[in-house]
Amino acid sequence: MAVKNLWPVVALAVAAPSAALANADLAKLMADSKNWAAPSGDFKNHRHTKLTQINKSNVNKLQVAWTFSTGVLRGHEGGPLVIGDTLYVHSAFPNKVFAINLADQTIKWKYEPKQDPSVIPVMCCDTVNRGLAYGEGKILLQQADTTLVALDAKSGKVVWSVKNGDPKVGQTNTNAPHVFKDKVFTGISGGEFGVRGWMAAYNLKDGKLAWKGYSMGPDSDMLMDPATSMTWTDGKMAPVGKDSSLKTWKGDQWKIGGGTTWGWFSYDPDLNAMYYGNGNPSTWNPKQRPGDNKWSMSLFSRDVDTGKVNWVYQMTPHDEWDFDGVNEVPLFEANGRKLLAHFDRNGFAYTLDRKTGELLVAEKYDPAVNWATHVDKKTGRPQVVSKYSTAQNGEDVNTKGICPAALGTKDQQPAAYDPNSGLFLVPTNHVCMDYEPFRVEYTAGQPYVGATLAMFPAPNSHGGMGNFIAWDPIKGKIVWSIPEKFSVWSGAMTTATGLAFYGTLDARLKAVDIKAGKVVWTSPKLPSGVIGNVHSWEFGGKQYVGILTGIGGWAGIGLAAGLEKDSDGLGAVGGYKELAKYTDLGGTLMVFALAN
Amino acid sequence: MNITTVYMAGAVIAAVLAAPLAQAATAQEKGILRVCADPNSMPFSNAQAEGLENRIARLMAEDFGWKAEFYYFPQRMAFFRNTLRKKAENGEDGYVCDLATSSAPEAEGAVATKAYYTSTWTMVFRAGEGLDQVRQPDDLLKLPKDKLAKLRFGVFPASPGADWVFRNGFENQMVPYQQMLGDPSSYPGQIVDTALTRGDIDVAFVWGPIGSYHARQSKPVKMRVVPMVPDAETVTDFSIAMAVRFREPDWKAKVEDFLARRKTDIDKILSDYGVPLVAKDGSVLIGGERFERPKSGGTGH
Repeated sequence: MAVKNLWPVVALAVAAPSAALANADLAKLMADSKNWAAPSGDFKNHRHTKLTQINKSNVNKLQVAWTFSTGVLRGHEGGPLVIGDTLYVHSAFPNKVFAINLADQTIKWKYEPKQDPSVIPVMCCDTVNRGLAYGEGKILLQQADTTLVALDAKSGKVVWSVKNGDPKVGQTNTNAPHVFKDKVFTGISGGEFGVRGWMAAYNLKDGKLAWKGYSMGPDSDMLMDPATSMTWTDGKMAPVGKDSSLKTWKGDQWKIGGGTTWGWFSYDPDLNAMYYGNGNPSTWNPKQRPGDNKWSMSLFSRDVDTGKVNWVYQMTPHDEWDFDGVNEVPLFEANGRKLLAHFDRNGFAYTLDRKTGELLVAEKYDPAVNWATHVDKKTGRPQVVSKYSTAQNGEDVNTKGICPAALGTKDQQPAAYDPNSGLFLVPTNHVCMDYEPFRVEYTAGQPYVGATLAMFPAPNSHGGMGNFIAWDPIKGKIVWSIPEKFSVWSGAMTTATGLAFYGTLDARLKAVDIKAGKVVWTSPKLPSGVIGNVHSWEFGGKQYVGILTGIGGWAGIGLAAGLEKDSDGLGAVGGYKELAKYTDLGGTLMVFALAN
Repeated sequence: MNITTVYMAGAVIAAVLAAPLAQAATAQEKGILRVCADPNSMPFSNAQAEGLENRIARLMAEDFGWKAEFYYFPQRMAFFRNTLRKKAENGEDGYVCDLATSSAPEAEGAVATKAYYTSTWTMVFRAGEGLDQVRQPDDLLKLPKDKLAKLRFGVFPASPGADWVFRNGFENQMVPYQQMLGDPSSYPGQIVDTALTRGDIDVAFVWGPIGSYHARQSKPVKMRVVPMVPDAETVTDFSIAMAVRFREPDWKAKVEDFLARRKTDIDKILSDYGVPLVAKDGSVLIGGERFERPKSGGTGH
């Protein structure tokens, strides 16, 4: 396929700066790479630093500068913010926040929310938290119990607090809040409890709800305009039409339809649009929810002010594999066109025109992916391979060797963009699964037939469960791939000096030469395995690289899970025991810098 | 993870890395049977120890010459991790409890014992409202069309009731309920206690022990309970076991020996709570009333 046909050169309109004051302030902080002012560093989710002190020739001189324990053992995802002379770091449940003075690493203030103990059954699972946001002098914390709280960045005092959901009906939060313009954006978790997902925007000023758009249901709930909300239809964008979601569900089942929203969000100030993906269609068996189950498993563009859906694209219609679509949606430009990328759990990497929602590229970013042959460009639908369809095989068939496994070719751990090479640096899983139906589930005193997954490293490959890859989002091709023993569950970061950093589950921080595709530095052993994200900042004339360590979460469960097929006992088999050999629990921020 | 689970889904790395070096025999050596149970899941257990599992546990303790103690945690996701596999604190050795009194026959994150009873999913409806002749779900299809078209069916996702509703094209008459909620004061029996009593729905598809117990408890509104019927597409019958930690075969054997030796006493307790019991020939006994059915061919056993 001729690349030039795919990429008509469209002159970018020079948009007048339309952003509100708060936005301008935050944009200014982000523009200075001495800060790390948003969960992913900037509105576009590039996870890129312009700082140049650390480069290919001196990266091997990195040393530990200082460390900080959160005092919490559960899995630590996300990473800290840095604003000026202060670093703000969060912990897993109970979601502590520390403001650390970078000059002497003393604690300026500490905030520990009191979360309702009656929600223990929903908090029971490894409650990660993916970090904080900053805006207008406030630090935003999205607690597990759904309380969204704004803290005074100077004092740690609560400025306002609002309940985003209700844990009593299974709603919880793990996502980082995001500040765009004059609003704070947050989603919701709890697909296991049948929660119907939404995106909510609260006023940064006072915490008042500005709008809330659901993942499914009537057009009015979704903030969908049948005439002007668009979707990819037969090779072009067309209006979604009336009741585009309701038509794809039976009866009232959309009310507990899932499509939760616990990933990372991005923002284009010029288009006044925000972007995110949502999760799978809840607790119904696939055969009990015939149809596409829209708009679960979809990418959304919404108007920042009103929440109106600009466009929506469903990656995995009628999900049979638990391929949540929540992964990050980084924004970039190429050939004069405003684009976005999305590395889906389903193993396909997508490039879309973020202004129009047009589908441009959808290619496998792990060669092991086999559940679909390809994504049909005209319909935008994956072409499912019958033998890997759990529904087509029926409930009495053990569907073997589906790649990727339910945890996806990539989970939430975000990729980084390198604006210099135009490549994405992507942490991935290299794991397949057997899908075994007729496994009896037992929940709240009720047995019923569910399914069980057995996961294992992708066969006929390097034997490891992960890769760190460079991806060309225009050609839709892997440029290079570095095999990893375990899934790469750490958010990556790129530098202006051509380096990419990522952490590993076996507790190392690594630096890669992006051009060569070679690891050029590996840290000494970290206190715990990494499921957090790498970031960078400058203070006192020195560049620092930080990584939040502390294994747990899905990574722990996923890895452990898949390799434990033997009911004889723990640690009896392969990788489970393997990982235990490398690392143990504990949340610690590790900070590296060049030796003096 | 939603409809599916993963092997060992109940186990996070915490439990893994804290390898159980010591057999959790401490409490047992002291003659204490520490039971992991739900504080609000009648008829099985509650914080007042009034459920059938509470009684069976006390019978077991008595049989062993021990004392029964209960460690309560809502039975949601990761129940075993938060009970059976949770290390005791306050300097105590071992775990917070050593036996879960109910489990699927293939436990995830623990080892199931042999099953101690088999029950079935049921249909519960208000008596005296024109459904009294119904003895199984398909009897509903014989009702007058206008009557049938007005019925509201309460179902849990992924349950055999949902299968029946979809297969017969009643999805627009379906009212979905969640198996588990975050609120510890909620329990699945509310589909009978609240929804059916109040008239939100006309028919509740519910796991037999829960449906039967709550139907019997319903004083102002008289309820009928009839079994579902298994077929090639739908499993309705399930066996319930107990569960212990991995690598405790002696303890598992001791529990299984009790379950076998005291079967008659256990069956008596089950019948006290109105648990529908599936006989070898497939028939179901609910509160003294026998329902003939074809033998189950499913894998629920």
